[in-house]
Amino acid sequence: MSAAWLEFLNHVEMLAGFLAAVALFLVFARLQLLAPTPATRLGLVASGLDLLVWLVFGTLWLAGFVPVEPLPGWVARVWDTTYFVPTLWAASIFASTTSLLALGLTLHRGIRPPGPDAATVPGKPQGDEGMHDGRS
Amino acid sequence: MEKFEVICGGIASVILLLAVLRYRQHPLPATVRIGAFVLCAGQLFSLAATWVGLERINQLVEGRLFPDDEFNWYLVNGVEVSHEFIFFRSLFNILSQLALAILALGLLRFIHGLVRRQPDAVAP
Repeated sequence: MSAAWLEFLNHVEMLAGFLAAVALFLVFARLQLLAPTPATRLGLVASGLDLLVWLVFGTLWLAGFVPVEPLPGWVARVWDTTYFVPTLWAASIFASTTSLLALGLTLHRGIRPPGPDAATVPGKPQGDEGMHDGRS
Repeated sequence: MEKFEVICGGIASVILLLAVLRYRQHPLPATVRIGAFVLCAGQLFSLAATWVGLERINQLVEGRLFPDDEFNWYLVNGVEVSHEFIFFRSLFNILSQLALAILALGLLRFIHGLVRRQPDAVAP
């Protein structure tokens, strides 16, 4: 009874972790497009790494469901590779902590989309400020 | 390594909660605040197990849910823990991951709102 519960919770844990990694990556991608700062860039890289780790673990997890004979041996070989799981685990800890800290830093600095700021300054051209050469 | 993971996660989620609570530039959706709170609450079980010790937390939860399986054990960090301990640890992990997903989805909606508000700000 308990083993079935634990297996079910393990599956839900995988799905929830994957969902969280995807959502966080989407947030950083959107922030990077809207108001890019070093914090959003760091968060985008960290959440991308986290998503990658979840994809690897998710592939192995899904491969465990396939009832074909060669696959379980392949999965077992991957799991048994020295330092494979600890490396992925360490990468996951590093990536998730960094992305949470980057999100905190982004919120601490404030989200400033370029449009309204440019609009509030009278006479300042709207759009890409890098294109402004000072002659207009 | 497990302790390192728990401490890193705890510190990062508390910093994120403080950043969410201190954000005054625009009103954040309630889901972001709730997500940040639940993310911190989800770390409590692992933090307690690290702080107090796996054995004591294991004694607290042992036999509460699956009394028939008391002879089955799991090994975590060299300590024998019961099914219930693994059950609650997974449950709290799921809680924090779902909270992070809710927080992120709330932030996505918030950013979408910011982008939609932009033409209003530009218009005279």
